[in-house]
Amino acid sequence: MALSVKGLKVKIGNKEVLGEVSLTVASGEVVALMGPNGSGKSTLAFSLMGHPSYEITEGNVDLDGKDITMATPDERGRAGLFLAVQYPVSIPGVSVREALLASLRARGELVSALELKKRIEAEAKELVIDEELLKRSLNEGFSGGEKKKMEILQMRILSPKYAVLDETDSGLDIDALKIVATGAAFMAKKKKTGILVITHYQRLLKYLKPDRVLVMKQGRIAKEGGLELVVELEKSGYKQYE
Amino acid sequence: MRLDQDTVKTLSETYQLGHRDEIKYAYRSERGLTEKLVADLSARKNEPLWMREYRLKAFAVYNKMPMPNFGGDLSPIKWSEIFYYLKPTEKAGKTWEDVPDAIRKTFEKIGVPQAEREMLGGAKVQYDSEVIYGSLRKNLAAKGVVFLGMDEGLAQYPELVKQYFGTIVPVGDNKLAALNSAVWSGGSFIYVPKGVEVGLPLQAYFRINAENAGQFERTLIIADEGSKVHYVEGCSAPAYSSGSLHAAVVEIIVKKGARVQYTTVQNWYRNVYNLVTKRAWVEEEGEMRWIDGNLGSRLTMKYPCCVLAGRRARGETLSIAMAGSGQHQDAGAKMIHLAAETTSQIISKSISKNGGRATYRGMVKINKGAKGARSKVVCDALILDSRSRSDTYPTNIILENDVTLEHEATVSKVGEEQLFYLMSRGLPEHEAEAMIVNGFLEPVMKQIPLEYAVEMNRLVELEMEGSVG
Amino acid sequence: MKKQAVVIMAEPGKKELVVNFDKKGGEEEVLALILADQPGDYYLKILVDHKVGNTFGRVMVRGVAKNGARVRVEGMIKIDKGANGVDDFLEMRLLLLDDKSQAVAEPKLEIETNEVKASHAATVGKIDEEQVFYLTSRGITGKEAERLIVDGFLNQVVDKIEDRKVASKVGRIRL
Repeated sequence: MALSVKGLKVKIGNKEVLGEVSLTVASGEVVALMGPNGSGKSTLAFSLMGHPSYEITEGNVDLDGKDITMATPDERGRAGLFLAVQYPVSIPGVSVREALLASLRARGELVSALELKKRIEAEAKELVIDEELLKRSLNEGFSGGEKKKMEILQMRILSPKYAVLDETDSGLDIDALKIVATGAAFMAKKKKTGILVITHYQRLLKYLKPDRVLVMKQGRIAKEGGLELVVELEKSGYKQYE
Repeated sequence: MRLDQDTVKTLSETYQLGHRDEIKYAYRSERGLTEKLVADLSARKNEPLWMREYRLKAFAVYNKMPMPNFGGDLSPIKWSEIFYYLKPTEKAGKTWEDVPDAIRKTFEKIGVPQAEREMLGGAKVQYDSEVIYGSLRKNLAAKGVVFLGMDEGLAQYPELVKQYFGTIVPVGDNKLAALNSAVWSGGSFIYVPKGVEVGLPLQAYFRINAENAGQFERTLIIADEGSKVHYVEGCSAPAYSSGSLHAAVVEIIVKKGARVQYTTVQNWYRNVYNLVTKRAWVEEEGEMRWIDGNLGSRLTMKYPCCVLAGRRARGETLSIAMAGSGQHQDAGAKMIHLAAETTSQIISKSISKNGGRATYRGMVKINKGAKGARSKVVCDALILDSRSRSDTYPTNIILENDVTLEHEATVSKVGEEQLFYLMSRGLPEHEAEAMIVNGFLEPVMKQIPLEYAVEMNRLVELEMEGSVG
Repeated sequence: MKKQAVVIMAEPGKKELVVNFDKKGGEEEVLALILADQPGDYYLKILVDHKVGNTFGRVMVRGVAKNGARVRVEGMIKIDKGANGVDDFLEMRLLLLDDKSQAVAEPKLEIETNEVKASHAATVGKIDEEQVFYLTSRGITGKEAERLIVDGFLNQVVDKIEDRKVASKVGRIRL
């Protein structure tokens, strides 16, 4: 059981931004995707989720044997893929509860509003999210850290098969970072969620240990390895990948 | 930027004495406007028949049209007493001291020969703009760029003028445009060939003669595909107009991929009614930028407009308006989106003080079919005291749904905390206030070429100090 | 004590509202909703006139248009000479849900004194594609996501209604 990407080529408008990316994330596996700014990490994340601005010109994306290459974002979501975005957009007038209720019902899960409310509150407590934020418009006026934690909260409630975390660590203080990492690690271990964690720094990976590490360069995967790759990057930086 | 003593002296004396050039007029029409006068005017200029007929048609339209029913109070204008045509015998001489710094610096850039410079700097008492103008023309001619007075443009390039004249601002556009179409005189004619970039701002000042400071200037700028040009109208030197009406028309054609910037830094004397129609037609991927500095005058009505006719055309109007005692600045911008993916931006900064009135009047229209069009309007007004007034009258007409329009406006006074902060750092109150006002204007100021920005800043400082009435 | 005026336009026509501040210390909020889903002209005109100072005003307009509706909103904040210490903000936001709808937004100001805090904001456009992507990526269908966004957009006004009775009458908007 895996999320498998084969020979993916993506363009935005007339410009090719990903030139043949292949990777797999197995159930319960944590794969780290690193690289300098502009190497295509976020592009890959959005492409996997089917963002309309990104056009897949070649290759395919497979989730547990189901071809989702041409699927719409909601079809991918219901198939079990989750994307925690780098810059969560605010949805005025829609609380996190309403959004999650709609998501669960969309995939046929009959959960009562009250039951969901309780589950959300429990998660919020574990993630140290102020209860006030649960009632407000999703992401509106939230700090960077609060937005990222809210993404993890939604991931925990939706319990996806595979999750892509796009620079979820950026802008977080050390306490929030630990919470986010632990939350994700829990999902991988107990719920067997396959996680593709995209990060620029190795800080997060101290608390969310990857099984494999991939490094991107100019729209392609340039190197693959284990934890030692992280140590190397910490020492010599991204110069050779620019 | 500290004002140097000489500049301050010149400017204040100019205003206090009601300075005007000593000009002998070879011909001065009778007051008021008649069909005969229009025909005579055309004959005197030796214009082609089509232009004479154009003027006469415009005169007929002018008579039929009503005055604009918005904006400022035009009732004090005595239409029948205006001299509609003045032609001097001699060019208005200026001494080297009168030439603003911005112009002087530019002489170096355009490579005025050393000998000429010395001549101008020392021995020559009268500054003759023809010398400078001649050098510049040689420079431009080598690239195929045409930069003439509008009268000369009509005489030397009649076909080109006929093709575009009146196509962007037609005779019946509004009453003042009709008037201008009938009695226009002076102004600039510019043509920039395909792919040519004019590195230096072209300035009307170089063509100084009485007609340039005239009331009914007509300017036509044609920027052919891929070209780039920056035109600067006016200069900070106080512009006294014996006629108290300035009704100009500016038409600009920005062809595919061309970029045009039109900067106005003008400071009309307090009696002037400054009513101008400025419009640019922008084709595919073209860019038009109006930078409009409105200081002085008794009433200004000016709404630089961009018609975004081609895909991905872009229009910007950045405007500064300052209204002091007895003044009404009714200014703004118009953006018309006809094609897809067009973008526009309007930034308006206005200041009113001593009972002045600053009005923003703008329109953004996005037509059906202009998919992906985006427009952003920001108008900020600073009211410096309790006697002054600020208005905002925007109209946003959106006929297409796949667009984004954002509009914001804020009215405020100089913040007490800001004043306190600066004063606590040793600045006297009026300096602190001037600094804050400068900061307020900065987003627009920074788009004005450095030399002119410095001049603008000086003017604003002067206005702030109140040494100009 | 803050007063609230709630205006709902659900039929083509013209609605005009004038708020006069003639007593110091006055506080009033105007909440307006336009649900334009029929072909025709919907015209909402609001005038807030601060004749005296130390008054507080807020105007919040949210409108959605579809099916050939043409919405026009004109909102004017007027602050008279000598009316010092006024605090006012006018906001109008219009969503065009299909290519048959149109809007005209005219947020106006006439301010005759400088001891004020006055501003306005207007936006017109279609539903933000990034918001749609965000929600659909969570499994919600495109249509459902749009419904959530539009409801949320309108509910921002409804949530501000303080009178329980009026609020429940307006109810949670379900378009």
